[in-house]
Amino acid sequence: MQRVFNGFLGLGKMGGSRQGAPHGFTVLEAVFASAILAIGLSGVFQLSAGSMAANQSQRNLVFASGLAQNLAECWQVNTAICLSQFQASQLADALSNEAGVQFERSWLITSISTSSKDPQLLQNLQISVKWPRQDKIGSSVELHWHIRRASTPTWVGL
Amino acid sequence: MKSNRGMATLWTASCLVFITSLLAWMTLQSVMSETKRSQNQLHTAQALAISESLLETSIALIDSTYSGQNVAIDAAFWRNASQSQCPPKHASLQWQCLRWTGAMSPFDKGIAALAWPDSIDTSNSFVLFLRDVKLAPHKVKIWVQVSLNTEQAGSGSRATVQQSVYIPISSPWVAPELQTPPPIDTKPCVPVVWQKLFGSTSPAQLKAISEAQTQSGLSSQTKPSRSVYWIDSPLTWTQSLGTQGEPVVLIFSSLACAVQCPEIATQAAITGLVYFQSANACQNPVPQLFVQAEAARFEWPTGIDATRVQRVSGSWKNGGL
Repeated sequence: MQRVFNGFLGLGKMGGSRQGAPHGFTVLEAVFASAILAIGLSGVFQLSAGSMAANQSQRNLVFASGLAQNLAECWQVNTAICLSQFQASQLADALSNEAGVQFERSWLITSISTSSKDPQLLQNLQISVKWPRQDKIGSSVELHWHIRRASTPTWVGL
Repeated sequence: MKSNRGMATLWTASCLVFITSLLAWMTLQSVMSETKRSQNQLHTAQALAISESLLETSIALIDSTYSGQNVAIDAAFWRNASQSQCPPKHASLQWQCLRWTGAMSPFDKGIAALAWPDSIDTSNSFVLFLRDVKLAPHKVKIWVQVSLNTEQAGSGSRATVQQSVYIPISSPWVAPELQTPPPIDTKPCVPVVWQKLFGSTSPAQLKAISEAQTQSGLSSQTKPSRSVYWIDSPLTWTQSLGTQGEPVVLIFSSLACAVQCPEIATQAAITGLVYFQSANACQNPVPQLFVQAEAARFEWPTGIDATRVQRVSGSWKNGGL
C-alpha cells in the first residue's frame, strides 16, 4: 500500500516503527476516517438542525399563545384600553415577533343561551392566531383559544 | 506496527466523532427539555383557561337560576345534594354539596344546565357547589376541576379554580330605627314585628333556609344542630330546641296558624326565638321572644344589594379547597 500522508499529526512516527519502513497513512485509512467523521458530523448537523427547528417552532407557539392569552385577559377586565379593543365583536390584527415572523390574530365574541333575561349573561370569546410554518413554505399553523365570561358583578363594597 | 498506526487514526477519528456527537446530543436534550417545559406550561395555561370558562359557566348557571326567580328555586337547585359529595374537609352535616359532572346534570327539570366548554374530559372533570347551610346559606362556593380531553395536545392536563358568590336567599339585617308607627287606616298593613326581627329577609327565604337545613340532614340531635325551623303543622310543639351556644329560630307559618296558632308544650324548652306568623300579622304581632333571632341573621357586607347574585370579592383562587 502506498503511503500518501507522511507525518500527519505526527501519528505516522508513533508506535516505534521500524527503520526504513514508509511512514504515514494509507488512502483506505484516510477514507475510512473521513467516512466516519462525515457520518458523525452529518448526524450532528441533523440533530442541530432538528433541535433548532423545534426550538423555533416552539418559540412561535409560545408567542402565539401569549398573544391569545393577552387578548383573553384583556377581555376579562373592563379597562378603557381593553374596552376599546373589543368595541366590535369580530376583528383581526397583525403582529410580528423579534424574528420577523408575522402573526395574524382574530377573535369572535358569541353569546351563550341561558334562562336569564340578560342575553349577554354568558359570553364566549374565540381567539385564533395564525402564523406561517418555517419548514413548509405556503402552509401555516393555527392556535385556537376559548374563554367564557359571565357578566355577574363582583361586590367590591360601597 | 503499521496496523497500529491505522488503528490510532481510526481511534482518534472515532473519539472526535463520539465527543462531538455527545455534545450535540446533550445540546439536543437541553433544547428538547426546554421545549417540553414550554409545552407543559402552554398546556397548563390552556387547562387553566378552560377551568375558568367552566367556572364562569357555573356562575352564569347560578345567576340565571336565582335572579328574578322565586326563592323556592333554591330547593330545586340543591335537591340532589348530599354529604357523600363533600370533600373530606367539609364532612360536617352543615355543608351542603352538589357535584355537577359533564355526563349528568344533578338539577331538577326546572333548571336548565348549561353546556360545558369544549376540550374537557367530562369523566375526569367536575363542578362542586358547596355552602354552609347553618352559618352562611347565602354564600355558595364553586369549585371547578378540569382535565383536558384526548383531542387536545395537552391531554390530561389539569387545573382547579374556585370562587364564591352571594345568592339572594337572605338579606342583611339592620337594626330598625325607633319611630312611631303610621296610622293603620292611611298606610298599608306592614308586619312591623317581622321586619324588626328578621329585617328584609322574607318568610319565603327563611322557609328556604329551613328546607336547606332539613335537606342537609341537620336536626336537633346532630352536631352541629339545626338552627332554623319553619313549621307548617298546627300540632302542639313538644320538642326542646336550642342551647345558649346554638340558639334556634322557630317559625310557625301562617298555614300552621290558619285556625289557631299551635301551642308549645310546657315541657318543651326552646332557647331562641319563637315566631307565630298569624294570618293577619298586623293584628297579632306579638312573638314569644326569648333571645334575639341570631340564628336567622347571616353575615353580609354592609350596603350590599342582596337581591341579586354577586361574586364575593377576593374569593377567586387557583387551587383545591
